Amino acid sequence: MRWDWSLLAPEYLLAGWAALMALLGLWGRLRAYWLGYVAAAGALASAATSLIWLGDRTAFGDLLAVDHYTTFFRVTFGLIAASVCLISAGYVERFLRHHGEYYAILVVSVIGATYMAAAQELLSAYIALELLSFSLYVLASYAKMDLRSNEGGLKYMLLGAFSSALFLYGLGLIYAVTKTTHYQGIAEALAGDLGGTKGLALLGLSLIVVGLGFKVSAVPFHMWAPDAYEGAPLPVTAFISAISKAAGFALFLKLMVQAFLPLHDDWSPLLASLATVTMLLGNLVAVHQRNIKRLLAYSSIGQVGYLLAGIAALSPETANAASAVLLHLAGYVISNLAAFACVTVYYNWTGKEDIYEYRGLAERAPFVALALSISLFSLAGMPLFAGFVTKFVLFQAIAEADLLWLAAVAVFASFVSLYYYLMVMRQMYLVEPETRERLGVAWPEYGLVAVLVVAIFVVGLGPQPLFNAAQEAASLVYQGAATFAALSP
Amino acid sequence: MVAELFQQYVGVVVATVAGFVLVGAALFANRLLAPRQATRAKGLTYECGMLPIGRGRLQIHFRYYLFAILFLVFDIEAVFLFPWALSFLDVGAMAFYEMLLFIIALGFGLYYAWRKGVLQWR
Amino acid sequence: MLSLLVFLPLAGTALVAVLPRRWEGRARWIALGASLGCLGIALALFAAYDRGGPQFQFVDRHVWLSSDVAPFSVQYALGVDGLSLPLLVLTAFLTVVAVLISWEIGPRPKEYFAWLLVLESSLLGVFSSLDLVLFFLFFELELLPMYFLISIWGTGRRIYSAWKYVFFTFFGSAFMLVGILALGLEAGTFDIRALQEMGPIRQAVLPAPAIFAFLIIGFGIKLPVVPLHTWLPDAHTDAPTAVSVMLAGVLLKMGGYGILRLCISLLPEVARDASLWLGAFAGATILYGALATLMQRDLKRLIAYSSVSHMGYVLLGASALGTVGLVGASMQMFTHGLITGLLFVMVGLVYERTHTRDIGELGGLAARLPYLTVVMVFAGLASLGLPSLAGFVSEATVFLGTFPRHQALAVMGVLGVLLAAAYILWMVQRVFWGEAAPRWQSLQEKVAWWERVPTLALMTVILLVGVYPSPLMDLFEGGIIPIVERLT
Repeated sequence: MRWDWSLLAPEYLLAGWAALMALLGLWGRLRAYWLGYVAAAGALASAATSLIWLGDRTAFGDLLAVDHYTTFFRVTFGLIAASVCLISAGYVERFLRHHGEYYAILVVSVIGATYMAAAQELLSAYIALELLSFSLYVLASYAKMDLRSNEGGLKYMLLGAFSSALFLYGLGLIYAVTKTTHYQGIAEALAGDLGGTKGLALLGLSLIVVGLGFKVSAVPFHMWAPDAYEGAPLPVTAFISAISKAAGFALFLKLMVQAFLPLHDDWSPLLASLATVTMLLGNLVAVHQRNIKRLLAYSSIGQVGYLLAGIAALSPETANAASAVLLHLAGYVISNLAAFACVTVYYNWTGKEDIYEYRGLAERAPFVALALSISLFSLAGMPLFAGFVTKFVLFQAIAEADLLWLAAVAVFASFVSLYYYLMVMRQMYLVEPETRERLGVAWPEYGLVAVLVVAIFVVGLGPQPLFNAAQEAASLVYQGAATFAALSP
Repeated sequence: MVAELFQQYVGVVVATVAGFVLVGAALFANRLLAPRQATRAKGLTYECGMLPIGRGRLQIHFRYYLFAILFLVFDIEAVFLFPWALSFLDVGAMAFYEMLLFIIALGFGLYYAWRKGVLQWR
Repeated sequence: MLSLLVFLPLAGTALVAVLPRRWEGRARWIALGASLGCLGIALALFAAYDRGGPQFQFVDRHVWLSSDVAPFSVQYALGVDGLSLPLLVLTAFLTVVAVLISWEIGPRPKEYFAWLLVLESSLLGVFSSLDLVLFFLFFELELLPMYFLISIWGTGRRIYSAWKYVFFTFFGSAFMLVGILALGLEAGTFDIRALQEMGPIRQAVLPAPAIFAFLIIGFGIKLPVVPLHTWLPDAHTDAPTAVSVMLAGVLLKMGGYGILRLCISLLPEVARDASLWLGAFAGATILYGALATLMQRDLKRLIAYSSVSHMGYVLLGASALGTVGLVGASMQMFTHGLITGLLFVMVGLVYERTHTRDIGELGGLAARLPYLTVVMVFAGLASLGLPSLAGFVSEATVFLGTFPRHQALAVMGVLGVLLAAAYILWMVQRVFWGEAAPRWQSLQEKVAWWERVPTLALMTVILLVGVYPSPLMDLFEGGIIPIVERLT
């Protein structure tokens, strides 16, 4: 057992940075606008630091693993946080109070997210989950004087606490059956003869699935998401939609592969049906939305459905579906952040977030309109953009796991999703604007948007490097599990 | 195995049920036996025998909550400190640094709260 | 070389996109240059293609995405054979026509030409892809420019039509994607050449007939086949002239090409079983299209419905599953592209002068617009299959190929030609001859160079193919023979 404290350096950095942000906010010497840049620098530095362990395979005790999988997510989360900090800079200064704390909490939540990916046993995972969730509860209700923000934050917190309880209950049942909280130990115990306790194990497993389903907002546990998304300040919505999904699936994937693969035949249909409902409902309800944040909320529910389908397609034999899930997760995060960055820029100019308010944007701010179109097309899975490649690989993996019907549902759901994305584009390109007055130019945000759009194209046209990274990350998760796959009947 | 696990709880269940029954029985007996006569004085708020001042609904200043939370933080610190003190010798120097870090973190929080003006009664 | 051809228009798009606003008018020159360049490359390929050589030539192949943990790879693979090469030339040629014909497009010319070039790129990509995923990618990419082209520069209920177009196509592509995934899973590769080598499908995730049906739905919407055709009249009618030309001239061919290249070539056993069904749908398409054409009052809608009827011949020829029938089908794709392209150009030019397309309001235009009348009559005669013009060659070949296999259906096809003669001649009579309404007395015919050049070029090619079709036919035959070999 190795207790090498230096393995956790990126998180020390983040913790220190959080304290720094709080202090900077306290002293108030620095303009609030620049705080965002300082925070982004910290998140980037942490992502860069995590690359030191690239290629390493070490564990911090039995609690956390520091390997490709962790590194993949450390980098992903670091980049998410950095982007969100940059998106926030203008918004937070204008619309929110207590700037230092905002960034501090944001940075702290990355630690929670990272440990969700790194955890090797259930309790660490649970604590990490709570660290992330609590940060997000506070952030969601950060617009203190805004009733919608309070309402959304409250709903988020109550349902989040409820789902945590379910998760914890499931965890307890699993512990009761297997007498361990370590993923590998659980897999060993489950692969053995369970006797009469199998039902209990399945109950625990489904409770864990339900708990995580709440966190990633899978239908039918999604009720909090649209309200929380709509109420939360815009950059926070972007953050929740990116990091809570990414971290939730980081934990979900690892848990399913390393701990519950022996029960694969039991949970695969369950997840497949959850995925079906999530894809269909998320995308169909999105069609009716009038508010861009709610639209993106439902669209992200739809995306969760694809990812769940990918998890349902996990198989003991290959790591194909796992790497496809990671790839799609990365593609989704990039496209989604790009979309939110554009929405935030527009909100900073006008304070409007209804879809019809986007009318004629192509004439008033061509760059933002184009970038938003690109990111929405990418979310819809149009060719050339990241979304097509990642979805294609994902659907291919799903079909390969003998779930062709599920892949067909996913394709159909994508078809529906194009409709509401095109509705937004219709407003921007086809409807006459209210005034022809050009909106200003927001250079720093434009820079970020440009980087994200370029990333969308890079992933869309040359996905091999990212795919390789995802494969390596996924194969490592499997190496731990592979030995037990042989044991399972 | 699980059945055994649950068998141990039978006692708890019995005790719980018995508790509810006993308390319920006592209240019910009280209801049956005691004389009932409502007077105005009986409906008044009890304030150590004096006549009540002001109205029944009392607003507590919001600042108390902040103090309460701050107090809670140090309460938790105490909860950690006692077991730490007991196992301090076994764990060795590491324990000292860990607790130091913990207290510094708490101290940072206190400093932050102080500077934010939580400790001032305005 | 092939990559250059496919990406040259995209380069043109990039150039147009960065053009400063005050030089907006120059976008058309860039578009013209890019499309002429493409035409040059396509013709060079046409000349350089070795007719005795391997099936696929000018192959450009790179691994695009591969996995180390699963037998799964997607390639960037381009190549042409006798079937796709003429279609590439057709695409490049019609794009030049489309650019010229929209020389004075109204608002936002910069965006317009940018989208037009994206459209060309995606079409060229579809016809030259050797990998199913790449094929699908280009097939989908075409939606983007079409949506914007119809809904921004269209007329009438343009937004409704654009939506309808996007929905039908996307609906079909959803089925197609599932079919492609199933095919790829079965073979472990998406390479069309490798898939051709693969024997009959025995045990796939989906039974082979289902894969076939899924692909047919996708391509049948594009072609279009009758119950799935309703998007076409709307999209054609409301699109700007140049886009109608591209739509009728090239986009419909994606459906026919897909049926030949994927359905028949990759799943020959199923195709054999489904031959009669395909033929029946083809017959229905031909007759229904022709009858519907007779009823139209809108000039452009009339041409659109005649397109439905004519594309039925492609499916009819394909259903015969013989060398002659398949060559006829591919010839029909080529000639229909030219003829209908010309017809749509003419309708656009007439509309620009009269500002109405209602056949009842038009009449007696021949005296006022002699040049347009001549060209329109020429195109109409080509469309109804006058010998020595292109339409005759392909339709005759289709009938020759179909007759031995499905006699009744071939007769239905001939009936379609009779109806075609009826609706074309009746249309010409109503629009160009007869008493001119007083409002047309003041019409002046001024034909600009950018109107004259494409019409003359199209007429030349139609005549050329009509009197000397053998180079083209030989080329198609070279592409068809490997397919037929697999069928027998």
